[in-house]
Amino acid sequence: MKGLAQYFVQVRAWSVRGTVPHLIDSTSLLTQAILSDTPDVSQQVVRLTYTAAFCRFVTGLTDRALKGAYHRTMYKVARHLGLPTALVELRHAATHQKLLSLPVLRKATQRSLEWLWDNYWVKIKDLEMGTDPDRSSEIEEHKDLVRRILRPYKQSRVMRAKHKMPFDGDETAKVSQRIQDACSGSISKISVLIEVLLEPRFIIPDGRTLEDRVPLDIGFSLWNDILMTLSISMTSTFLPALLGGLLNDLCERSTAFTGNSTHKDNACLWISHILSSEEWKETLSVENIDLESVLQKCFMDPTDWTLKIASQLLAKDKTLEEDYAEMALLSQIQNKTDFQLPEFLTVGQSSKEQMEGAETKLISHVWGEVEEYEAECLRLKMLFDQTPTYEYLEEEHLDAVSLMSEDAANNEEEETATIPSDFQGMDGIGQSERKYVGGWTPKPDGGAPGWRRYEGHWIPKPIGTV
Amino acid sequence: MTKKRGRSHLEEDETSPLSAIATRKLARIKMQQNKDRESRNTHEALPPEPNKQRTTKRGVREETREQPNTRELLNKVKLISQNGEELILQTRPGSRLVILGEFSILVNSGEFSIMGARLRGGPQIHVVSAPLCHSLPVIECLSSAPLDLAEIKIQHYNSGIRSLHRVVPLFKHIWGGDPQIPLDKRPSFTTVHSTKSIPKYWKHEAKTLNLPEPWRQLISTLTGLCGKVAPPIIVAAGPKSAGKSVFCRHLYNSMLTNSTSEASNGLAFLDLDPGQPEFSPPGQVSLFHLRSPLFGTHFSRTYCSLTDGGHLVRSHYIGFSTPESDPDHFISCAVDLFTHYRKLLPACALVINTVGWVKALGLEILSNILRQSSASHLVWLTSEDLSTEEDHNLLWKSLEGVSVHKIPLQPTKHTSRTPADLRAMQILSYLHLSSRKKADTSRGSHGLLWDATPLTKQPPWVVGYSGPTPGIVGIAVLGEVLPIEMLATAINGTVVAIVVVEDDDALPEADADQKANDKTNIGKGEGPRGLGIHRDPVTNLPYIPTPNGAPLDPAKTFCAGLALIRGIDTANQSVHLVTPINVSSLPLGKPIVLARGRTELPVWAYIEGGKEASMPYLSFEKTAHMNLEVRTKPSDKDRGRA
Repeated sequence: MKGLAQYFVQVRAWSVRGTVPHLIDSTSLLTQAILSDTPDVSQQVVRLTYTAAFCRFVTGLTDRALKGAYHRTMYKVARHLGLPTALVELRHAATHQKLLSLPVLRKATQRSLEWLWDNYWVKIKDLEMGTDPDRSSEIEEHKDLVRRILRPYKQSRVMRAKHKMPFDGDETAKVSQRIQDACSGSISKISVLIEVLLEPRFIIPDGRTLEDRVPLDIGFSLWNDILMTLSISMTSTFLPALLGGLLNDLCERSTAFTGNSTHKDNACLWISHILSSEEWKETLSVENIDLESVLQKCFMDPTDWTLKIASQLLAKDKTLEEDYAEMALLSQIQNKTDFQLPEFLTVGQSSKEQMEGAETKLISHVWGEVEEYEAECLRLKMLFDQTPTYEYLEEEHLDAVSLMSEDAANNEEEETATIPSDFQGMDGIGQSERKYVGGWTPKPDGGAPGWRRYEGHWIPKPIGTV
Repeated sequence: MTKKRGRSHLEEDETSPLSAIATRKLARIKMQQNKDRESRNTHEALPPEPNKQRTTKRGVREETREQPNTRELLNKVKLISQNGEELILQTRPGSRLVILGEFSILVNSGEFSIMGARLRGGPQIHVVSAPLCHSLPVIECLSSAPLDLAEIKIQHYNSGIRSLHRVVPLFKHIWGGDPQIPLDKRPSFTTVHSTKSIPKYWKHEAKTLNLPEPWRQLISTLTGLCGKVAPPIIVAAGPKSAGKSVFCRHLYNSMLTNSTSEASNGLAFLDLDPGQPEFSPPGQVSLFHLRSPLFGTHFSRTYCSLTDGGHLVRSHYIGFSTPESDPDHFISCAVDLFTHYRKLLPACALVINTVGWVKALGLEILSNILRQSSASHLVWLTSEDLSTEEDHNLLWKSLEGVSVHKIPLQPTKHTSRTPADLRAMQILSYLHLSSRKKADTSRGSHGLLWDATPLTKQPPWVVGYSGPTPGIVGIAVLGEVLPIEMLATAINGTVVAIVVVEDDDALPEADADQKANDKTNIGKGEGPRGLGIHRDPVTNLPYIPTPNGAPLDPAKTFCAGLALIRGIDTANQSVHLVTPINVSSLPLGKPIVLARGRTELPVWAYIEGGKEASMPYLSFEKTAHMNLEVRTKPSDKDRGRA
C-alpha cells in the first residue's frame, strides 16, 4: 500500500509542470479515494471522498462535448465513449440527491477504475510496444503479420501479370489500409515494415527461384501501386524510410547480402526508378523528398552503386550539379572505379586541372583538413567572444541607429538634458529626490553574486537536459 | 461643371478634364463619405482599392480598376520622397494612413494622432509595431499650420522581432510585405493603400482600429481631468474581450500627450490583468510609470525600461493567468502596488486595467479593488445583456464618490490567433529578448532587441544554489506542497519567476528540528538566518515549503522577471536559466527565490532548435487519447431531430 503513495505524488508533481491528462488524474484520485476507505476514518468523510473523486471523473470526461456548438446529453457522450451509463446516472444522483451509500459508491469507483484500465492504460501499453528494443519477440510477430498481409497480395498481382489481366485498384487500397492499421503510426513499426519489404522475394527479386525471376520492369509495375499508396497515406514517414532502407543496403557497411551483388543492383535500380521515373513523379512532388540528402548519403559511402545513383541525380538536376560536382569528382577518385564520369565533369579546362590536382589527394585527406579548419575556428571563436554574435542584428542595428542620428545632429544638447544620467531621479515630479524604494530600479551597479554566464563553448541541448 | 453632393459615385466626363478645385472638392466629398461609413462601423475592413467609374458614350457605367499611383495614396496623401528606408508624406487635416509592419514615426510639422496619442512636431521618434494579428492603428492628420501641409516621416526600424518566425511559427506571416522577398531584405513596413500589400490568407482578417464615438468622448473627458488638483484614478472594467486593454491604451496615450502640465509628471499604470498584461509576460501584475506614449502590441513592448518610454516600478508574480486560484493573494498584491503608487507617484494620474471577470467572485474582487484604490472613475464596458445587470447595478450604487461611465463593448474579431496563442507569443517574445539594448535609446524608442537564436542554443546563466554565496536561496512552488524529492521533476524545463526578497521575514522560519540541525550548517550555506529551507537529499535543491503552497508575502518581495529553467546541474550544484532580465541590476544583498506558478511554456520552445532523437518531456507518438475524442459535429441522426 505504501508503495502507491509515490505514484500519487508523481502525478501531483506533474500537475505543477502543466496539465495532466484527465484520465491519469482521475485514476490517481479514484485510487486515493479507495485507499482512504479505512475503518479509522469517519464513514461520512469516506463517502464524501468517493463522491468527489467519482464526480470529477465523470464530469471531466463528458464535459468536453457538452459545451460544444452541438449540444449532447451526457448519456449520449457516455455511450459514444463506451462508459457505462449507470455511472453517469450515479453521478447525477450524487450531485443532486443526498449522499450516496457506501456500497454503491465502492462499486461505482471500482467500475470506473476498470473502465479506465480497459480503455486507457491497456492501450498505452499497446502503443509502447514498438518502441522498446528489447521486445524482439514482438518485432518478429509484427514482421510475420506484415508478411502475411503482403504475400497473398504479391501472389495475386503476379498471377494477374502473368495472365495479362489488369490490376485491381481496390485490392491495393485494402492491403494498404491493413498495413497502415498494423503499423498505426509508430516509426519503429514502419521500419520493421521496410525491413520486410526489402527481404528477398518482395520488392527485390531474389533470382534464386524460377518463379521469382521476373524482369525488374515488371517488378516495378507489380509494386508501384502499393508503394505509392503507402507513401501518400503515411506521409513523410514511409517514403523516406523506404529510400533510406534501400540506400543502406547499398552501402559497403551493409552486411546483408554482401555476397550477392544482384541484390544491390536491384536496389540501385529501384532507387533510380523511384527518383526519376514518370509514375513516381507525382508522388515525389507531394512528398517533397530532399534529393540533396539522398546525394549526400551517396557520397558518404561511395560504392559503385551509390555513385551510379549520384551521377543519375546530378545529371537530372542542374542546381545540384553545380554544388556537388567537386564532391563527385573526389569520391570517384577515391573509389578508383572506372565508371564513366558524367559529361559535365569532363568539360572545360578548369575541371581538367582539378582532375590532375585532385588525383594526389584522397577524400579522407580532405576531410582531415576540414576537421582541422573547424577546430581552429572553434578555438578562435572561444578566444574572442563568449556570446554568440548575431551578425544580421549588428548590421541592421547600425542602420537604425545611423538613421536616427542623422536627425540628432541639431538636437544633441536637448537630448542629454532629458535623459537622467543614472535614472534615479525623476525630474519635475515635485520632490527633489525620488527613489523607487522597494522596486526594481535598474541601477547600473548592484548585481547578484552567484549568477554568471556560462563559460566556454555552449553546445545546443534540448530543454530539460544539461 | 457642378457636382451634386450626396451622390454615391463619382462621375467623370471623358471629354473635359476636371479642374483642380473640382478635384479637391471631390476628394473632400469622398473623405466625408468614408468618415460617415466609418463612424457606423467600428473595426472595419481595409479601404477598397480606388476605382473610377467611367461613362461610355452609351451611358453605361463601367468600373475600371486603377493602379495605385505612388504619388497619390488613398485620401490624397502626398508622397514627398521615398527610398527604401523611409517615407516622407505631406497631408492635409482629416486624411488617414494605415501602415503595416514595424516602423518609427517622426513628425516634422503639424499634428498627427495614432492610437489616441497626439504627436506634434519635434525630434521625438516613436516606434510602432503593427502586426496583422491585431487591428492596425490608423495615423490621422489632425491639424497643420495654416496654409501649410503637415509632414510626417516614417522610417524603417528593425528590432529583430520580425525574425522570430524562424524559431516560432506563431510569428509567421504577421508582418506583411511582399512574400517573394526574404524577410531580412524586406522593408520593415508597408503602407496599406491597396489590399495587394497584404498576403492573401490575411485579406479577410486585416482590420483597422477605429474607436466608436462614445469612447472618443469619454477619453477626451478623462484627459481633461488631468490638470486638476487631485489626479484621477480611473478603473477600466468589463467582461472578457470587451476591449479594455485597447481602451486603456488609448486613454493613457491621450493623457500623456494631450494634457500639458501632467506631461512632465507622467502617468501611473497599474496592470491588474494577469491573463494578458500590457507590458509583461502573463502571470504578473505590475505598476508602471509611463512618460511617453507607447504603440504596438503586447508582445512587442515587454518591459520597456531605461528610456523615456516608461519604467517598471514594481511587479508581483501571481502564477496563474486568472486570480481564481488564489483571490486573496491577488488582492494583497494589488494592495501592495497601490501603496507603492501612493508613496512614489502621488501626483500622477492612475489608470487601472482589471481582469475580464465580472460575475460572482470576480465582481467581489473588483469591488474590493475599487474600494482599496479609492478610485474616482469607473469605466465599464458593457453589452446589452440584462441578466448580469442587477449585480452590476448593485455594485455601481454601492460605490460612493465614483463616477461610473458606461460605454459599449468593442470586441476584437480576430480569429487568426486565439488568446492562448497570444499568451504563447507573449512568453516566447519575452524569453527571446536580447540582453543587449539599442545604443541610442533617447528618442522614445524602447530600445529593445529580440534575438532569434533558438533557446536551446543560447548559453544560459549558471546560478549556484549552494555554497557560501548561492545565486538563489530557495525554490518555492505555488499552490502545492510537494515532497522534496519531487522538486526537480516539478520544475525542470519550466518557466519560473525570479523573486527578490527584500525582507527576510517573508521566508518561513526554520522549525525547531531544523534549527537544531542547522546549527551545524551555519556558515556552510544556510546562513545565520535560520531559514526554513529544506534540501533535497539527492540533488541538494533548496525548497521553501510555504504552508499550503501559499505564495510569498507581496509586501516584502517583488518579482524581477521570468526565467526558463533549462537544466539542473546537480554535479555543479547549479541551475541553468535562460532569462532576459538585466542581472547586473538585481539588488545586492537580497536573497533571490525562484517561484514556480503555472505559467506554461509553449511547445514551440522545446522544438525551436529542431527535433532531436530523444527529448525529455516531449513525445511525437500517437497517444491513447485519440480514441477518446468526442465528436462535436452533428451526425445524420442528430440532424433529423428538431
